[in-house]
Amino acid sequence: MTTDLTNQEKTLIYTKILEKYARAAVSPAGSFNYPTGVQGLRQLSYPEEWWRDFPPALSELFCGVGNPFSLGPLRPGETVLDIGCGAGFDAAVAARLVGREGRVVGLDISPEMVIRAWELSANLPFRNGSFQVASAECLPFPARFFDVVTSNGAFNLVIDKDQAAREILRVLKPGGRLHLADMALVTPLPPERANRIDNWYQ
Amino acid sequence: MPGEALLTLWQDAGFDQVKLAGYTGMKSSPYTEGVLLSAEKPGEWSVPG
Repeated sequence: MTTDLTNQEKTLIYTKILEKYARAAVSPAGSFNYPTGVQGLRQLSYPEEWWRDFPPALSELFCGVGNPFSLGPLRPGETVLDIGCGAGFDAAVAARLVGREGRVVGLDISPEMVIRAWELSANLPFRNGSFQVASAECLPFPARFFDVVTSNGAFNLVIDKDQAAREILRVLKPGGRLHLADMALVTPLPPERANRIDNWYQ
Repeated sequence: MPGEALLTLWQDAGFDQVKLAGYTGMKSSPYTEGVLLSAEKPGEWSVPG
């Protein structure tokens, strides 16, 4: 999926993505072409009872592209990994749904986002989540560790998608589920836009 | 990446029950839209704990 990129191009993509999400950790306004924050949550039909007692800043930093929780229930006591957790909104929803016997880990490549996630999670009414800086291509967990892996708007930013998919398979338990919301190409890019490096981070 | 290629990617990685559940209406450009996809790791799920 990525073997035609040079190391220099991969470094540029990674750097630009980190720059974009460092800005989005302060405010997503102006960084995305679709609704973010509470407007995005309502458009994607996230039930308000899931998030009405979250810190307002956490809801305002939501920049997902879908509602991965619509793909199936999370069960009490389950262990969930959220890849590309951003400021931690979906991880917080997952933490609520799995309950106090469950655990949620949010991962993001952006240190600024992980710092925001820790800050904002301190004001949540539950304490069953944690956050780490890591990439989907090298997951810092043992095999067969998670019941569910979620991701929302992040997988399209992963440079080596085949490696990330293998890693996700590795850390899921047998019968574990993947619930993914992501950006996909729905109309072919015009020739002048195809294969442009900035497609990755615009 | 088109949605169909996304399906193939997860199938090739070894997942079962790979399904494109639909589009979300969130568009980041005239060419891209949010999709929902689910899949399972082969094997039998057991009750957590």
